[in-house]
Amino acid sequence: MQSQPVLLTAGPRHELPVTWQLSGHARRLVSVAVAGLLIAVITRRPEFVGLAAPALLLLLPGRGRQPDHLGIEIATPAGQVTEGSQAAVGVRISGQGAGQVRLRLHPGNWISLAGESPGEDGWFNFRFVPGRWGARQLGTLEVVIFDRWRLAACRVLTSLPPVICYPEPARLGSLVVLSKLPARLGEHTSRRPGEGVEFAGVREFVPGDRQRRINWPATTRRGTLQLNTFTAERAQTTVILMDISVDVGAAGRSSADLAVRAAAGTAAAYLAARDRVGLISYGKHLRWIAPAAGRRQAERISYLIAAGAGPPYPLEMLGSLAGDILPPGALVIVFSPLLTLRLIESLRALRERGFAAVVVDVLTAQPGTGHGRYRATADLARRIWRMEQEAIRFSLREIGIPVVHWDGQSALDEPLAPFTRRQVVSR
Amino acid sequence: MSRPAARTRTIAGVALLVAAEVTWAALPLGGSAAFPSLVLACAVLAAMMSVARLADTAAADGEQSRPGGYDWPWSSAWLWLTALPGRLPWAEVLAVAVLVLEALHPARPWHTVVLIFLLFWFLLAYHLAESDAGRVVLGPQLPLLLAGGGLAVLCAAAAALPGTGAGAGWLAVLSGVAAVVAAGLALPV
Repeated sequence: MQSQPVLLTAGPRHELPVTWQLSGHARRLVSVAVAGLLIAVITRRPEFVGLAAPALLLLLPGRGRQPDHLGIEIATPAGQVTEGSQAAVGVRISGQGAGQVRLRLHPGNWISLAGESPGEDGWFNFRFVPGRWGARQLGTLEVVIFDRWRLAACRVLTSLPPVICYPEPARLGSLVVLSKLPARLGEHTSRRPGEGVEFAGVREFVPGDRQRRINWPATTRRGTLQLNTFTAERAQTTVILMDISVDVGAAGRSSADLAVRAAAGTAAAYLAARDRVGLISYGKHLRWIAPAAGRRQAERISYLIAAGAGPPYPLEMLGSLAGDILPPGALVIVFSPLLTLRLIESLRALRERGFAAVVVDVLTAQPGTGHGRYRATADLARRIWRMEQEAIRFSLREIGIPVVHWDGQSALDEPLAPFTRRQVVSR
Repeated sequence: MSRPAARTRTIAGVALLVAAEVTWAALPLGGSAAFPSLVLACAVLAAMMSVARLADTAAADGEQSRPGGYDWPWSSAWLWLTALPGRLPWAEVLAVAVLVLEALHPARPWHTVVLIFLLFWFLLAYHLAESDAGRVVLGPQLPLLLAGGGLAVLCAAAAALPGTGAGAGWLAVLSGVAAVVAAGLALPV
């Protein structure tokens, strides 16, 4: 893998006390020397003393004074760490004197080491690839320092700081747009006439209209002054509901993984279109970010998705959220495996309040087949479970909430295509 | 040469040295006495385990899987037991077993000197493989190694002198005193 230059932010220097011990090499030399001397005395054979002599001579130099403290600086990635992309952590050891340093990173089970290389100014970089989003510890750093003769060694274990890994956003090129948009300037073409660039039609000129918009061919045909009209361009308010209350499926492709990736991709796509985007995280608790636009909002949403930070609220509040979190006329895009009945009831309540919602089903796992004499029972349970799932989806469609399935591999445009080609009618 | 390939070569060299020194110390195999056979078995086991530890096997690292998902009352004892082979100082056991094997044979000073050289070669190669260091780290120790080798040859010469004359005895005593003084200097490390 080609190593990329990675920006790191250095942390403060920590002083750690160290305890020096005989190294493995020194212990072996002492063992050989003692064994040689003992055998020489017991067997009265001087040639075994000759065995002890080189061992003890090699032990002689290791009597120097060693430092009793060690300085450790750890540099964490300066930018965002995204799952699947390479990042690095830097380590600088100081105060070891003439000792030789050996560093070893014991990575957490969510990252894989991609290599290690010495950097500048005494820094040593460990490159890694995070496999899964979230805020987690990188692992443990093992520092072993040998003296010049490798006869004494000290070993220090220190935990590396936690790193927030952001999910790899799902690809979404085309957006779901409502038929009625709030009166806020934006980039979506509205049905209402306005000052946009999208041609809407031709009407008769009235005093006060801009002359540069006169449609001369139509004027010639009709004999009266005709004017081009254009549609207004409006911004949409989109609220993303990310259901991570259950996490089923293989790690890396579980329902929670797909939900956070889809939420990250959708938020990025709508924010790029200068829409107001809000996020509701439906996990153990309810957390949210009220809709807003801009780059700072993108950072806030990413942080909530990856780190789950924010004040927690009870899940029952979802059906009755206030207007600043769920503004009237907002489009609600739900990413959920639809396994939590309480969430489904809340969706029905939202629909009754008039919100236009689209559910993207992110369930990719199914109950396993049974074995042995329980196979028939397991198959029956699986069929019942499937029927229940179909019933849930059918009931949502019946009340006007379309449900589409996303497999996590393709772009989100594929399941959302029926709604991106035409505007979604909202009440 | 890449780093893993160099490490593999070093470990292979250590394995060859181990085989050579065990064979050298055990030969000639005579009789069927229980104690020499036991020591030989210990040496072979220690040789295999020390090379396995260098190769970073699971047994050497003590990375054993749990007997089940649930922490049974005896699971910690089981873990300790299964991790024990990885924690034992097999290289030291090997060195001592090889020396005992040599001592079980009749006195043969020059044979012992060769064994001493083999043993130190093994210790240094093991050290290099274990610490993943290059031969450069042995540079400062070269004069000491040469001096130690000289002392070993001196002791063997003393032992090889015919009879139990006063010369041989004095040389042995001098070597012993030198070794004890060196030990006194080295042990407070």
